[in-house]
Amino acid sequence: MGRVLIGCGVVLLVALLAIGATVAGTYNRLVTLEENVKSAWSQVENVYQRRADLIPNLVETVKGARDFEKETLTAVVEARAKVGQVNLGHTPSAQELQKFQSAQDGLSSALSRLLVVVERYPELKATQNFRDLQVQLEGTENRITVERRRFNEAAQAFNTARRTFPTVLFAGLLGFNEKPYFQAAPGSDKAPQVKF
Amino acid sequence: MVRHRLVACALTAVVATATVALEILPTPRTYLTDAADAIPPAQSARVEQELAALESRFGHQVIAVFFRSLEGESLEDFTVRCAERWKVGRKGLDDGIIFFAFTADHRMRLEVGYGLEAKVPDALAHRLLDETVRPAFARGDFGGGVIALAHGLAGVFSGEAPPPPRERRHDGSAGFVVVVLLFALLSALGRRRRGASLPGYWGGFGGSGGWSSGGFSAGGGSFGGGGASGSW
Repeated sequence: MGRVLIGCGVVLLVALLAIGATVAGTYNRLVTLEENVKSAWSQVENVYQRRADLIPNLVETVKGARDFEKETLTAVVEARAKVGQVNLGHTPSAQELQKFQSAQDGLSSALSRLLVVVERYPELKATQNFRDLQVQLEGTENRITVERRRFNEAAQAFNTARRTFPTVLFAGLLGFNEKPYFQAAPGSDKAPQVKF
Repeated sequence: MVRHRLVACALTAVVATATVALEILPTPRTYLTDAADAIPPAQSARVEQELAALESRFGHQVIAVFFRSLEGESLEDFTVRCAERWKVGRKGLDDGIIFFAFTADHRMRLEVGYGLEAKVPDALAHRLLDETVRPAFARGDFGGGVIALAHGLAGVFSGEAPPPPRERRHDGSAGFVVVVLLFALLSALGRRRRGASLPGYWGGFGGSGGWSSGGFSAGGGSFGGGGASGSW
């Protein structure tokens, strides 16, 4: 009788240990993957910030041109201000990401509009200052595309691991939530790119 | 029968190469990779030397790759994927630069590693392409364009205090032993990890010992889309 009890106890202990080890292993893996998502997100914010930092200089340069369309400039400045309000500093929830993206897309379209309008000001387009800004803006848009893709890849790796059995049973309990993705710009399967 | 099979094989090979024409190649083993036959063989040795010299002088790895066509792919998307895979530049310093040219499309791009973005900002990269490379390319002198770029970059790099160049172990066998041990360890580890069997996964590490005295081996640098694009 006593032996059977001891036997049961040992089996129970081994089972508990096995479960504990699985949970710990899974937990560590999710932590690592979540860290990747976090660092990918901070890169995303960095490159968007980089774009926002270019705006004041761009606005100054464009203002210098004679009778430049005021509305276009105002739209850029306003979109820039909106972008300033959505800086998160942490990995976003689905809702936060949506807000972030719509603000950033607002700035993207204000900028594209500005660059279209600039076409009508050849003397402005010809200045070295504007050409350099244009290259910087182009480079920043490219970095944004890259970092957004990397964020989506990191989020996907995390979500896949999270949804795998048996992880899915306790991922929620451990406080690991599904990560949202950047949506491709409407009308294209690629991230928006400013064309000059 | 055998003949039929041969024909079938040949056909499959043709179809395969046609569909994977713009697949991302494995990490180049030379500083100059000319898949477009743009540079005459007599000149390519010189180009190779010029690019290799940049690494021995400044430590920054700079390679050039010629393709025939983009096959309709987006330039920047394709080049940054190559850069991610090839890991040119030293690990941690991320100081690699890759020059891409697509001869049929007349497009080119300079991908600049994270660590050189401050020294080679986009505007400077653009100017190098526009003022240094483009005139030569427009004449059809592709080798000359790359050599001019190498000189231009040397000028940019000499304006800074150069970090010590990567060590090249020509002497002694101690380094070799270390590399072999490291390699064995990494491949043992690799076998236990998922996804490590992907070719090129360890590519960045395998070469960092520099056991080949000639040719190029990537050091593990990363890229974030810095640089500039151009055309001729």
